[in-house]
Amino acid sequence: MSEPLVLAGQEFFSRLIIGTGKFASADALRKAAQASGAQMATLAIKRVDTRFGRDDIVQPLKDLGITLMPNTSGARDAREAVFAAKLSREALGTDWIKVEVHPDQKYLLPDPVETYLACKELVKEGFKVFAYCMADPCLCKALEEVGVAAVMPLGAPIGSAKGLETLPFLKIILKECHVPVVVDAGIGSPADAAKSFELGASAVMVNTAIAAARDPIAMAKAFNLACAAGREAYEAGLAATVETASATSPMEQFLSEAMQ
Amino acid sequence: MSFFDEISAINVDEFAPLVESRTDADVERALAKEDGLTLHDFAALISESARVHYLKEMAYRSMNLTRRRFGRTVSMYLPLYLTNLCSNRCAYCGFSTANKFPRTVLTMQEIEEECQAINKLGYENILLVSGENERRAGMPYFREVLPLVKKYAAFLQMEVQPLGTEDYAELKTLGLDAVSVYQETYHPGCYKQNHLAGKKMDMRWRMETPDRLGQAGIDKVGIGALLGLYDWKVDVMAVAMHVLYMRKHYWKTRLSVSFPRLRPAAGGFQPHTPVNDSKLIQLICAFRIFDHELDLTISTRERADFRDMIIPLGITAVSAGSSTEPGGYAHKGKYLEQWTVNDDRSVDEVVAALHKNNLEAVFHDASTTYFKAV
Amino acid sequence: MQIKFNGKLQEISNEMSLQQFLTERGIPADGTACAVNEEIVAKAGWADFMLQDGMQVDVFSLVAGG
Repeated sequence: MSEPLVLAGQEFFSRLIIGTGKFASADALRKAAQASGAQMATLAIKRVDTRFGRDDIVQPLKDLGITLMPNTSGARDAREAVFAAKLSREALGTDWIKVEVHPDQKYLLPDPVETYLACKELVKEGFKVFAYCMADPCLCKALEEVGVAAVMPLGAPIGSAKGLETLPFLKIILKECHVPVVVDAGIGSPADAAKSFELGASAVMVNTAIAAARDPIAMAKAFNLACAAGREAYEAGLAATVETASATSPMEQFLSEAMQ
Repeated sequence: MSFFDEISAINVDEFAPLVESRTDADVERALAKEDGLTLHDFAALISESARVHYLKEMAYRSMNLTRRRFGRTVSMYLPLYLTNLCSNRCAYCGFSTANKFPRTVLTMQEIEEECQAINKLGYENILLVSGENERRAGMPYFREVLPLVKKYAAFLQMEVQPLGTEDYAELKTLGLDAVSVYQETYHPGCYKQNHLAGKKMDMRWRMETPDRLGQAGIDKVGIGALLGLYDWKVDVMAVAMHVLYMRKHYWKTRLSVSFPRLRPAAGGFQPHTPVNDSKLIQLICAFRIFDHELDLTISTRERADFRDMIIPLGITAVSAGSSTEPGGYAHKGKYLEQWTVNDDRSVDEVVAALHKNNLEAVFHDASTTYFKAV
Repeated sequence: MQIKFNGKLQEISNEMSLQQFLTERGIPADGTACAVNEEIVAKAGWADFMLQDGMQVDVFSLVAGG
């Protein structure tokens, strides 16, 4: 049994966080969520459109025992993100919030400055803040210092399924950050998820790769297995290659003597 | 929780059997890691198993890592002894109050002469050293000294009595770049035995100094133990633990580690557990493999031929042409030296020796500040 | 009187509480957050909150999203 994940004081046995967007129906989402084994899922908060009946997704997820992590997607600056967070807290009664601030609507890239400002404010307001951000080590450290519950650096542009394109930066973040690191966005395949865990990620966040698969339920299960395998590999301690020595004369002699 | 609190929660004597029980398999596991070595891995790297079977491998790894991170350069610094006055009585030190000899505190005039002599040798990286004397070499003195020395130093380091966070922050505005405070020993019993009088008896105050330096935002902090004072296995493990702690809590701070071995000094103190040459080589390599970014310093306490061999292995800063007596650059032989210099070659000779090893001596280690500190 | 509901003007009768307004539109309290003039009104305060002419009422709920 792998070590449980502790996020904002809560224990989880699955390290997969699923996004709930892009599924064909509430029922498809429910089945995929179940197959994924995920214990956390993200949701967005939007204006109610009373013209259509509401497809309630909150209750089915709650019934599966899934902890809901509302996000601030759609927020273009810190002010909007803070407002969205407070709306979510009012609507769901949770102080968990995934902060997403993206001023552009094309790439949905997180704005580092506004994200930082929003996180700082929300931590002050008592929220458990999960910060979606660029794979920028300095930013992640700064977010850690303002007291976020976890940082969520992206692996590649959201929805791109390109995998861990930010690998060298993720490695630095995983080495230097002392809050949990959740690899978010860009994870295209179960292998990407497993790799994230092998490198030391605390959790991964997946949406499109499951929702847009030919068979989302089967893919959800594949991610479930990959996350478990990657984490177990990390805990088992990977064997790595060893570089071999190359000899030069006086130094070689000097070292030989020191080994006597 | 300060580092003192962290280390006080454990029995440091348990480090010795931990190091002694490391096997070849432990060493291999440590060497297989590219990064993120634990304290257990470090214990394996300083073990006898590692010395006997893996020292060459460690040496080449250490050399490669050092060149990758620091290039083919070694930075050159010179100590400037401000005073041999000291209100502490430390069993191993020539400046101890127990020893009777003429004491002096350099005047501004004398300091200026020293700085000019040091600049003439080519140095712009100056390490101010003093005995611990709050009354005659405390903050009021430093407030006068630093602006003066900064005129001659591109990089200004200090190795004086531990100060408070606000004092460090203030000295930073006067140009202070780096501070070293060696713990001497991390073993409470041994610390007590060797520090017999003076403020240095307060082990917590000394051990929490790197915390205060980190909080004050000093660019570089030097730590280390006096090798030979206590069981080196215990102290070296404690230094490694201190490195991990500093990395975790002060991510903006650069760290350096020194390897002072006890040398004979006035008062006739003899090392208790000597660290021989082979072991010192191993320790340098172990620290480099443990933390790739550490600055590793070696002083003129070490012999010339030995220094030439160990510098390429992982050392990033050395002194040459050093004097350990106050006023010793401008007027040699006036006052007592703190310890005997072992590598007494001139700067040029040391630079030439570095060249032979394909290393460049860097005298201008520029301060990393862009704006004048406020 | 007129209010702006989720960005659209709507005619409502005078003397209407926020609670009544939401109930009439079949909006449940569960999973809903409501802001008037960009200030969040806590659920406990809905019944006592009387709508006034020109107010901007925005109602939010959780939807699927990554």
